[in-house]
Amino acid sequence: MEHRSGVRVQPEAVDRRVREVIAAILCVDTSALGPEASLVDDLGVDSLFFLSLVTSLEREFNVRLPDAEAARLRTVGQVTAAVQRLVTAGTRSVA
Amino acid sequence: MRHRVVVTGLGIVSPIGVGRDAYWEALRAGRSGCARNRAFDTSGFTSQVAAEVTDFVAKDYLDPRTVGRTSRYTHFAVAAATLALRDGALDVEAADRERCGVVVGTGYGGASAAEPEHSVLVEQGPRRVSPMYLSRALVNMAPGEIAIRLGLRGVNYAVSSACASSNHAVGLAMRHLQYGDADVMLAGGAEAGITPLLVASFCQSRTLAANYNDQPERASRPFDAGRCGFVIGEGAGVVLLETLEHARSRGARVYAELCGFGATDDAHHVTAPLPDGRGLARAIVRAMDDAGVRPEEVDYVNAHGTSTALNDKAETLAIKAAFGGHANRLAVSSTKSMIGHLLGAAGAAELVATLLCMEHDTVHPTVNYETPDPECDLDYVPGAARGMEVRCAVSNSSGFGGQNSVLVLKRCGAA
Repeated sequence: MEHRSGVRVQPEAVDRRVREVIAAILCVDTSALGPEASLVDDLGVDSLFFLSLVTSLEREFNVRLPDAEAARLRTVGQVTAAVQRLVTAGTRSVA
Repeated sequence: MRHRVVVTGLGIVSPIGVGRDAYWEALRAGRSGCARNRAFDTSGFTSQVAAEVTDFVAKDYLDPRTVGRTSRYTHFAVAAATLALRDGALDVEAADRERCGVVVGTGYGGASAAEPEHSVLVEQGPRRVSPMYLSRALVNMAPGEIAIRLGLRGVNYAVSSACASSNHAVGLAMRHLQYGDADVMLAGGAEAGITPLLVASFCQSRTLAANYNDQPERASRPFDAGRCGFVIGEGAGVVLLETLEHARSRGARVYAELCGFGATDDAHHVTAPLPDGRGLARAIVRAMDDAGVRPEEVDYVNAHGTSTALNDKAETLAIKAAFGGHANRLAVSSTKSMIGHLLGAAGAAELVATLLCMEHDTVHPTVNYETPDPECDLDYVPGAARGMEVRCAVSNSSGFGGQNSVLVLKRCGAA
């Protein structure tokens, strides 16, 4: 598993980093980002913040999250799982 | 019949203080906000001086997420609007918010957001560009954000005419009130352009002061023979405007009546003013006509006074042309001598200064005026504040593009 820096990273590290990115964008503490936390209902994420979140994660992990897949994400746990899957699959952005 | 318009609240975010009281204290004392530019590494820049807003925390006025999706000029604008409402003790919850509007002037808006984002585009491609770039960059985001935060659902837009923007914004807001479009308007300007790209371009156009990098507090010296360009500043000013009836109905404290607006263009050159200042002179005359004020009634002119060789000479000629023999009896001072040039926010910060001069019956000085220039021979209130009655005042602004915008204020004893 490879971070954009080229350094191999562990799944726990990906999980932690995803939550740090979400926390930075939403201005909340990572402790508020349990896997069950709902992006809309618990964290007040609107459409623009959601797109910003996706872009920041794509930048951070050098992956591409298709819009259709992103639209299905409802919780923090689903976001981290999606990023884990993309990183593991080695999907690289072609942007 | 036109409604009369009064100013009932002042909001200011400036390089010499945030809020009315701190700002006035610094203006009266003649304190400079010009210092070494700490916004970025200025190695290689001819001008290394700036008037930055230092004692400002955006999160004091905006929730943290909004801070993240908006840019610094919007932060300043929202803060100034909040301060103006607070100063005017207007409870917006109780007001008819469909009749409350906002007009904010800006030259550069959030264009500084393009500098880092463009690097992302070039280096990482379009899929990495932030969707927030738009909400940071667009020039109308400041009035939009003010409306969203305060629920003001009336007329709302941004005005851009470079360094004349604020006076256009305030003048147009005045018109909306005069003609019944609204009862309450927040109007002013905001700017945050102390960024590498904009400063480099100003340096390259030879408009910034480059001879005082080691004495930054002396760099802005309007009308002085040793002036060599302006000092770039940042900040915002917003005034709370109401129809006189609305202000009276709620027992508001009134600073002054805003009674005249004049706007013209030099139609001459993109950066240089008409050498004889007649474009600005026409705007002053129009504004006085609009106000129904004779030149002899004016006590004080808050000059555009940028500290550039061309502006200060042309503006002196403009004042002489507009006021005739009365020009020599006017007190004329430049707020920019202390706060630098706030570009699109300049007129608003200077309007707030002018209203405070009226409020305190004291005209703030032009600092750094040391060596008279034979071509600038009016009374510029050099060095120290002067106690004097200010019953009627004129505030000038001019912008790249040849735009001139002038406001007239008079004491509103009847309110």
